[in-house]
Amino acid sequence: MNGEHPDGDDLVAFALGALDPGEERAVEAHTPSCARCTRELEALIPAVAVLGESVEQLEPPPALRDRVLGEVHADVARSETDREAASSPPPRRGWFGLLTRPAIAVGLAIVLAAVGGYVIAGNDDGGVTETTVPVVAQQDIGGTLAVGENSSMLDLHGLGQLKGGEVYQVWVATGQTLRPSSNFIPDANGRAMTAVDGRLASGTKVMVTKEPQPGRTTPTPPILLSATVD
Amino acid sequence: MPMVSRQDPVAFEVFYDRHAGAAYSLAYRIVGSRTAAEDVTQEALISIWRSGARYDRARGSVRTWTLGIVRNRAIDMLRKESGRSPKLAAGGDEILEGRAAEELTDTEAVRRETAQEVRGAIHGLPEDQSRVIELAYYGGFSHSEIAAMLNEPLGTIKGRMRMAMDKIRATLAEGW
Repeated sequence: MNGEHPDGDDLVAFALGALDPGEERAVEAHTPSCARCTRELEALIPAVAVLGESVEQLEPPPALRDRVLGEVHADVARSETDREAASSPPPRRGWFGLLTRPAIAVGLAIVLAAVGGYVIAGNDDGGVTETTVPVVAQQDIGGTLAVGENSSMLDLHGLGQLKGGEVYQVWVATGQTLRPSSNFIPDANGRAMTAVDGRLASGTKVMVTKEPQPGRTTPTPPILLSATVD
Repeated sequence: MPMVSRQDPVAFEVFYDRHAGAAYSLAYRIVGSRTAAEDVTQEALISIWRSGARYDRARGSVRTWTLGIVRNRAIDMLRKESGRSPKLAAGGDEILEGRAAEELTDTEAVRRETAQEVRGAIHGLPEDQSRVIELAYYGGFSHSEIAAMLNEPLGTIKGRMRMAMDKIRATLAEGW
């Protein structure tokens, strides 16, 4: 078990999203391995749900439906285009060389020394299996990688703000092949969610770097985050 | 949700029609502006579309999970745009009154009836307890921020939160 049991009042505040960030991280780190606290939190879910559902109900504007579903259909079209492009042999790029460069070795040493708390959760929902795997990160950066069947999602916090045209870039390493995936910009609170396209097989490594601009085909050291799919 | 998780756009349309109203309503309740509520709802629902496999039924119903995501997005927007001050919107009854009852679809009517019922569980709380719940859940303030704001000891605020949640749970258990 990770850490001491939070007291009941803190679990209530956690369920309401009302803990201070440090307290919240402590509960997040402790709860997954503690059946008692998990049960207590689950018992609070219906009461928290009431708060969300008890507001006066409004009709969303029809234009909102058009915008949301427009994005959905654009995503579908993009992924079909990507699938067609993927049918041609992908370029193979060696990335072990990157890991053996001194600057990277130092970067990874920092990364590996700072493994934080994480959640591993299984979910069997009608045949779709979701697994959340640990993200190994530099200090103050944390998050999870939720692995889905056809796409996965990185949910990160504690990211530093970017300058100029900089972006955070996701890289997917399988064997000796490294490919760029999505790039993203965190919000003002240093939080970001970004999709990682494609199926992530066991052993696949997902990494994040900060790049001077989008569209780079090789990563710029150091690797800020990494997660390996079980 | 399995079909949404597999990024089936038709399934997502069904998901939208079931949950977008509640999502938009909660977003509006937190951010207090229709435009901002639309942005929050759009961001939250698109994030679900792109990460649908993250739904874990152990964390409650799809509706509960969806509203949790909407709430987090709305609070993030509040913090980003207002430099941390909460907008505690009024109930919004005046907006509903503008709509003729016959315009409501059956689903919409049921949704509003359910919301009205569950409001009873909250309206029964003492004012000091409902205030901390208001500031925490809809305002996005932490318990220590609330204690400083209300000039009360942190332990008092924690106690009020717990008592409020105990009462809501008890009301739910009675079947309101």
